[in-house]
Amino acid sequence: MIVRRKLPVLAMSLGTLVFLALILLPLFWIVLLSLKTQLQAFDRTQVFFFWPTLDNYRRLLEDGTFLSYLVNSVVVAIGTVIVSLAIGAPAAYVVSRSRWREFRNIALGYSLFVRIVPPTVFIIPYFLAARIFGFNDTWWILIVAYANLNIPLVMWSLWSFFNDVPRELDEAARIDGAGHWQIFLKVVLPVSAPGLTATAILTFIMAWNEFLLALVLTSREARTLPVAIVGFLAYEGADWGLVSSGAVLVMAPIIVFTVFIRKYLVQGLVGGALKG
Amino acid sequence: MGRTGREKGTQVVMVAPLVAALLFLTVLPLVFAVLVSFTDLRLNRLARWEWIGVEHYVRLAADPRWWSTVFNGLVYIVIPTALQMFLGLALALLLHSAIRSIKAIRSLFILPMVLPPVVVGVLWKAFLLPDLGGLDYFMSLVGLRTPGFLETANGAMGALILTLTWEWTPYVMLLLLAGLESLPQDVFEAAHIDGASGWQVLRHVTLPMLMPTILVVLLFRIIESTKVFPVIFTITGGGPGNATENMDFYAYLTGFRYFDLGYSATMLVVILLMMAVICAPLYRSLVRPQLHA
Repeated sequence: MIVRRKLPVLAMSLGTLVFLALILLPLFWIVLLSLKTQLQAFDRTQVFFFWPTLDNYRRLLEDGTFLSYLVNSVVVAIGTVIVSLAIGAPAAYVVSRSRWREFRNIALGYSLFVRIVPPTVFIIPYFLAARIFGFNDTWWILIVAYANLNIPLVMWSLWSFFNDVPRELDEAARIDGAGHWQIFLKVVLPVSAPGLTATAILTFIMAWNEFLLALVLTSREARTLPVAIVGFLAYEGADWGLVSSGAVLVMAPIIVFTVFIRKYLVQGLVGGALKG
Repeated sequence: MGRTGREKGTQVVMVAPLVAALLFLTVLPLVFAVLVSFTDLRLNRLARWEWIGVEHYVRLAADPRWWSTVFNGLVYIVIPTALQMFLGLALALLLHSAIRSIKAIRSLFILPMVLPPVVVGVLWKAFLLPDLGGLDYFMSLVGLRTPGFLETANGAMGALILTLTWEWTPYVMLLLLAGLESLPQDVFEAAHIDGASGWQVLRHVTLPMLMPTILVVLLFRIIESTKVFPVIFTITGGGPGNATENMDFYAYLTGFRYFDLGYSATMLVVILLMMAVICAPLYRSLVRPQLHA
């Protein structure tokens, strides 16, 4: 403990709550906004006490395009999770278990490198490749582009979760005649299931949240929710009812997921870089 | 083939997809971007293009708008990162010594960092706009007026700095709190027995022991601080004028609004080189020693 007596602890707690209020205030504001009519939104006498309406949500969902963008977002995010894990997990196993130094260095250097490269750098090559191969404005091009950004993150985080699986388990399986695939599938993966789940959810969040590549690589068919919300901002006169209710719906699943994986978030985000 | 040979073969099969992804999804596109930077390729006439050598690089060096975006880019790296580190550390220390029931709701503290960046932008735009916004309302309660955030160049920059600080302070807090919790407790006990004050303990025990973690978090923040495109796009759109553009934003506009893909690719290559120059020494001194530990 840094501070011992009761009073400072209370002061600290109070300070923490002030911080929390500041963090939650804009979130609270957008939720309020999403429950107001256009008139109420601009009415200073109805800031906190007003007759809430779900009208904005109804307008949002009645127009079928929002739902089709929702489907796009879900499909792309799940596709990204599957591809990134299928490619990243076996590689993370080799990095974690093998004495193959050169590969380990290449794989980890790659992980950091893709993180350093601003995603903007990829927009031109991916856009042109999509044009050339006819994948423009499809789920596929987004899944491929997001896999590129997320495989390194998956590897980075799984590498650390796999390291936590005791080597004695590998040895026991090896004595029973198991090869690398069996050790990977039947020992390491099941034992690190919580870490694996957290990594999958983190990847889902990354793909769900992504904006720049979706903006460039999709137009109408494969548009995802973040691009759709920016569409409501439009240029002349934003429809704040749609913007705010759309924003609330897009962030709701993310908030649920976050509460779910909080315990594994640190390790999932920075992998082994903070251990020790 | 013996068992070890076969095992080596299995490992090769397990990493092959990764190597393919690295080659086809990362390396080839980057090489392609470099090649495009030496052409006059335009979005509105993709079929006709010529090699023009380093012409775009020369043009870039003399482009005043580019240099102002470089300056803005540095502002977005330095100021929000400094604020995030300072506030994140403060919040981590507070939360570390707060009562249990507050620690139990710590998930709420980290919401800003996991929200879609577009939503973060929309959220703050709604909060900062006069008439609609909460800030204006709260300030009017105490008889003040908002400083016209989105109309002036400095105000818009301030709005972005505020938003980025809000978005990423929780990230710093989360990682530093994990660092604090992994410190050995007996050192703190010893310091207290020796009669050290809370402030002395913080200054001479906690901070020095936390320093490696602080540095790694700083490295990650510097890397991530270039990825502010969605927030700029939603809150200021680069404006007023082009006062709040960073390099990415200018590169995006050049390629996809002004259709000048070749010039845009040149900017992207230079951005990549700049990040490599900034991050390589940090990586070598901060992260690598820990990876091999």
